[in-house]
Amino acid sequence: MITTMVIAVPTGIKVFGWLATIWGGKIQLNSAMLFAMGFISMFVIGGISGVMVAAVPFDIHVHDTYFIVAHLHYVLFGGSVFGIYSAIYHWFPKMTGRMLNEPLGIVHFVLTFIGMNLTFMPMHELGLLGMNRRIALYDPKFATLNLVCTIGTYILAVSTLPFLANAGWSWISGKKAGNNPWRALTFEWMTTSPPAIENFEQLPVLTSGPYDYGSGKRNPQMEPEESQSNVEAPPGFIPPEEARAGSPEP
Amino acid sequence: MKIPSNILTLLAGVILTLVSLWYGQNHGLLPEAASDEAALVDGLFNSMMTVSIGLFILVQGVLIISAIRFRRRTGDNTDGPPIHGNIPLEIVWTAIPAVIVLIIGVYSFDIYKAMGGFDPQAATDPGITQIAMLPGESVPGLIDSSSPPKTRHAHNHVALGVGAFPEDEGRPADVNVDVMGLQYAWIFTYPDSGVTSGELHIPVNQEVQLNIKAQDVLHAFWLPEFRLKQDAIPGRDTELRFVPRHIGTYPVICAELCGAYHGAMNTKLYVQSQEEYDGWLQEQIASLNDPNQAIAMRAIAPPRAALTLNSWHPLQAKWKSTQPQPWSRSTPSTSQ
Ligand SMILES: [Cu+2]
Repeated sequence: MITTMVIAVPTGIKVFGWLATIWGGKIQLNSAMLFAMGFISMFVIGGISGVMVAAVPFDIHVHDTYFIVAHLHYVLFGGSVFGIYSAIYHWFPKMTGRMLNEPLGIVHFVLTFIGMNLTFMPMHELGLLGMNRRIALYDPKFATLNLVCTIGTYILAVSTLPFLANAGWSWISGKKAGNNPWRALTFEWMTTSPPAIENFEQLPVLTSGPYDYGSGKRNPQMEPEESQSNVEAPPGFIPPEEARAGSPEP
Repeated sequence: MKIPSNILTLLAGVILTLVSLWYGQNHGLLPEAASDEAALVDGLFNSMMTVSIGLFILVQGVLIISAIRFRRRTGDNTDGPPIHGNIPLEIVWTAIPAVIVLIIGVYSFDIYKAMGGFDPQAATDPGITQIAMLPGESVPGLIDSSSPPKTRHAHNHVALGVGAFPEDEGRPADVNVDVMGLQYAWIFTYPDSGVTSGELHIPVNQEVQLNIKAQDVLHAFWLPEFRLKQDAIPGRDTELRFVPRHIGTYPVICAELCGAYHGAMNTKLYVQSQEEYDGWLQEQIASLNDPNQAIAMRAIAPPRAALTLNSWHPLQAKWKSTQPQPWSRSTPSTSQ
């Protein structure tokens, strides 16, 4: 019982760590960020019901019921699908060289978030009231809540349409992404989008770590083209050509 | 007037605590609690709900406040301040889940013990005997059916089910009912009178012990209003022991996927006053002794019980007429 619940400790540390990361930051509320925040929001609900389900006396009641279906979808759908969507919005520009359409992305997020909660939130209550899982035949007293779940699934199904349309259309004629549309500090944003064969045309030089946001150590090589001119190179920065010239030949 | 942020934080903390405490007691999410065991489980659930709502509001609140307060304004291309680590904060947020989990874990053990989950007498199960076999040899029966006589404080098996309250350990229950799960019905036999029924009748405020078996595949005997559930396992004995506290009709549900018509494997539990229960039992005994009825019963023995299944769904009636008759293959000898 306690050994099962103990997983809540590292999970709690992760969630509080994510919250502390965005607290005090400068959050760009784009589709990728919305899905990332939606992921935290949904994953926490699944984590909470997970601790409940680990308590054996309570689990005797909800085992094999819709409460379990609700719990696992908050963890699995909220915890993985939201994360995957977030990652796609974040790295689509790097993979294809083109940006995904933001308004469509936000429509996709709102529909997914509403659909997910309409589908899976009532299942907690269904399970507590006495609806078991893996059945197609249920007591008529559960009809209303099941109808809400059904409406939710339709919204969830429709929510994929703006995403698919967005991915298809943007891949062909989306806005050009450039090397680093997010002004991110990690390595992959130093190369072209999509990355060239063998990744880099010239040897990249790292002058800042991936978490050095706000420290003033931005690498000019990673700035988007339009703003590159007005960013001053930090002291000690060696332009890549010189760095390559200075390094011994392989 | 600008309110200092630590006062705001304190105020938010107080409101969060009050809301959690209130919601933990007034969520109204659970169905009626019809037994003492249910009241215990609900107490545990309410405490977990209190903590959960507090955590839920904290996390969602921080997310929403961040989204509003720390969003990037248009035209602002600078980064937030670099913050690297905060040891006291990290200790606090490691300690919070650790302490919560520890308290809930100990509390759960306590409730499980109070419900009778650790009743050593509940372990009547003989366990499974492994039999070595040569190829081609016929199986003499993989399960040792001769269960050894139950010894006091036999701790060698974990109880399969929920036994007596700790104070009632070793005392036989007031009412004993044998429960047989089969595809797709529950059959209840009252060993004292030989009465067989497709619906479970029990007297209110009496300690009831259900001895649960399965005839064919795994089933699970679930009483949602009693917060009790126990797998019915072929070849193994399990039990549920509880005290019903409210007169009424409650669903009995098979909670373990057991075949195509698993969804229709439901019946009713009638908690009756002692007089009503005795009346029902006498009626059943009379029909058992009626020679015409007895012959009819022998001919269709378990089906009679199965056919009294409550048809709460029109589909179910339709299914019953089309489904294969499971009892025609193997008829348990419930009537002599
Ligand atoms: Cu079943």
